[in-house]
Amino acid sequence: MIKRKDIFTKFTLLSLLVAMAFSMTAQPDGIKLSQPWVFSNSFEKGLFKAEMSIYDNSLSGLIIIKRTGETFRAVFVSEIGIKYFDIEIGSNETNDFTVHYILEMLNRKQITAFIEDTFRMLTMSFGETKKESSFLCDGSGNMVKVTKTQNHGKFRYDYHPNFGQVNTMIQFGFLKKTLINIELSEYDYLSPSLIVAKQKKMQLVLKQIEQ
Amino acid sequence: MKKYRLFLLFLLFSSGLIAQQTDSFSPMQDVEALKVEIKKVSENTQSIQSDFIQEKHLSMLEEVIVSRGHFLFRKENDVRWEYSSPINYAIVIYDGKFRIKNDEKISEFDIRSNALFQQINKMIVTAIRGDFVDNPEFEASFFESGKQYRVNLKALNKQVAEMLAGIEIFFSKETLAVERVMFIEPGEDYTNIIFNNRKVNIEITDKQFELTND
Repeated sequence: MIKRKDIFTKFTLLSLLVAMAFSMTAQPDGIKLSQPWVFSNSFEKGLFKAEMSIYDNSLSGLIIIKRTGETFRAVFVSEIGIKYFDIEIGSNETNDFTVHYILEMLNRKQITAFIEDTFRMLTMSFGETKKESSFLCDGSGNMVKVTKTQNHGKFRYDYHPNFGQVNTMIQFGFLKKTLINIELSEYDYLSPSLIVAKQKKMQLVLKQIEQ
Repeated sequence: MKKYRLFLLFLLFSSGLIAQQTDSFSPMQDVEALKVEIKKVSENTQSIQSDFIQEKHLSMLEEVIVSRGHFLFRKENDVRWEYSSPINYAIVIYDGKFRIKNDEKISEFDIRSNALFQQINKMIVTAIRGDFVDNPEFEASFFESGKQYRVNLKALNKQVAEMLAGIEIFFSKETLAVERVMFIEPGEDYTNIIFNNRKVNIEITDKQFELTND
């Protein structure tokens, strides 16, 4: 009898915990979610003030991001005009990545991987939010959290259910360790005006200047 | 660090009036005479103040990033190179220090503590004395048109050559002031710097080389 009561108590507690966890709650049926985006379909190009920290060093200058047909191209130049890198990434499903130029001192595996991961995530195609993905809305209904398996690890992004603007993107690695975290804010109708991408000892901050 | 070296390189050839390169250039015959003249002008130049327009040409993107700013030079080696558009950014070399102001953040480096900054300092002094064309780090060739001289510099240093296929400096034949500098990268991209509103030998105070958060 006592044993059964214990089981009942545990079950009740578990139910409560599950209910609390989903109080943010699962996507209600019948609500049409917007397609998530970082750069809207109308985005053609943007000029950003850029600061890149690599361990104890930092680089600053301007990054121009331009949509060129099916791809995005990003060029980072210093204030005085020295080119740091020139990369291209496909916005299609293959998401091909090409380094057209990178300054020798930046041509290190960890640095190029950080640049690649950041721009892959920024320009990725999100696709439809499917019910199979795990997703939750917060209490106010202003955020949708989606978690997918991608690149052999979990990938999570948060976005506004009505407007589709993505606010956070996180790529997790082994044991849910955060590999890269991107915060996006101050959106206009084309793109975020502030992008902060962080990896363990590297960071890229972009502040939009003009379009 | 490399960017400071390049930045100072074009300061070496600072300033002049806007001019368009409309006529064709041919190799110069009397290069030594030009070197002597440039040196003479440099020796007589105590200070320079000028505005500049910097155009970064990105050929594959078919884009030009245009920056504008102002620069000051005062003998022996005080320099202020400042951008006002599209971002606020300044580099100052003054009182043995190399300072950078990026928005409201000011960073400072001691020139004497760093071999590169010492080299930069030396390069500026050399430039003001007018013998930069004999700089052993570059192979120079000289051309002239009806209105301008053009010096083509090719970097002999491997690290610099990796970033720059060449530098072209355009001088006014009339005043020997540098009117335009082109930094040509491997590939088709280049940076064009055009100087205007140039004034020489005006009074420039110490205060103008200070960087403050105002």
